[in-house]
Amino acid sequence: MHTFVRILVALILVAGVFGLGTHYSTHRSDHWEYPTYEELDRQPGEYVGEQVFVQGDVVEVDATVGTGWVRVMYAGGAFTATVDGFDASVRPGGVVQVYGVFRPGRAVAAETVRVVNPAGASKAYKYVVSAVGALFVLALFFRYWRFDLQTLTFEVR
Amino acid sequence: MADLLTHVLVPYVVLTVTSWWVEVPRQWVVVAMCGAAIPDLVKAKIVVFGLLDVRSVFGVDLAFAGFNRLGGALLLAAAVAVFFGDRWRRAYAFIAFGGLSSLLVDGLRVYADGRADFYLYPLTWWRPPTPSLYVTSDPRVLGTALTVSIAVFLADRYRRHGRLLPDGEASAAE
Repeated sequence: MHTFVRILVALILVAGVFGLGTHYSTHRSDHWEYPTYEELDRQPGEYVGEQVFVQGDVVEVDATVGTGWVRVMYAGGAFTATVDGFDASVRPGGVVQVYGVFRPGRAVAAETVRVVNPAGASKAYKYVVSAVGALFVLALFFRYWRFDLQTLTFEVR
Repeated sequence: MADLLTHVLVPYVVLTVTSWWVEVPRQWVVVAMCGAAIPDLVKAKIVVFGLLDVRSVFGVDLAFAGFNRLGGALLLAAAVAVFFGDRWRRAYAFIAFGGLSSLLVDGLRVYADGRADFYLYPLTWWRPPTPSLYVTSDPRVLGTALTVSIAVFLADRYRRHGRLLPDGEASAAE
């Protein structure tokens, strides 16, 4: 393949990926079977009794009564959901997913609470491990391959 | 999604074990490992926007969402494969294999309602069921990936050389 054609094809494909991503992001909520966070925040009364799915940062947990407060964020704002039946072991700053029934006052009667991050530090852990992984795989790749700048082609070393 | 290190180790394990029966050149295993990292580029926006100190640039963050979905992963694999010259078909197969393995691993992670994200987009908006096997922040995920990888690495070395240590070290130890 000619070098110019190669770059052109790659650019078109990358544009295609960004196009798909934009389409995905704008249509995701149409296919998401639960109310969006924005809907729950703006018209909470309309969704009382409905099945909801929220993910957010844990603000506080009161294990004695089994209640947790979860900060749910969306593009245009945020609200704090009171989660009853909060049976997960998680510290403030952690992240949880809650699946349950919406109640008045932006509360959720939880059927399932799953811990995504047990504490605020979990995010740093994921980033550090991923950065190590990225460096590792790049170093490994260039042990076996080199990039020929003239032909813009990866060649076996 | 699982962490990037776990993602790249999965095709290493699968293809190295496969190479015990079918020939899989080492350099292509490495290409598949890189392919497994591609869907994680969805997180590149965190790095990019973090460095620029902005939350979003003209909806660019939305556009990144395609990276770790079926269609996006297959297109990105092709975009990289064209830089492999005459070997682009083979490159595509290995990069796409790596990318799909990452999506499969991601599809097994925890979802409170028991169904994974829209990973098969744009093929379908159907959310496949997930066994909710793990959360990425659990160190046991990486621990398992590392343990299995090291075991496979040593077993592979033993198959090739008949011993666990490379020739140089082995002879030095004698």
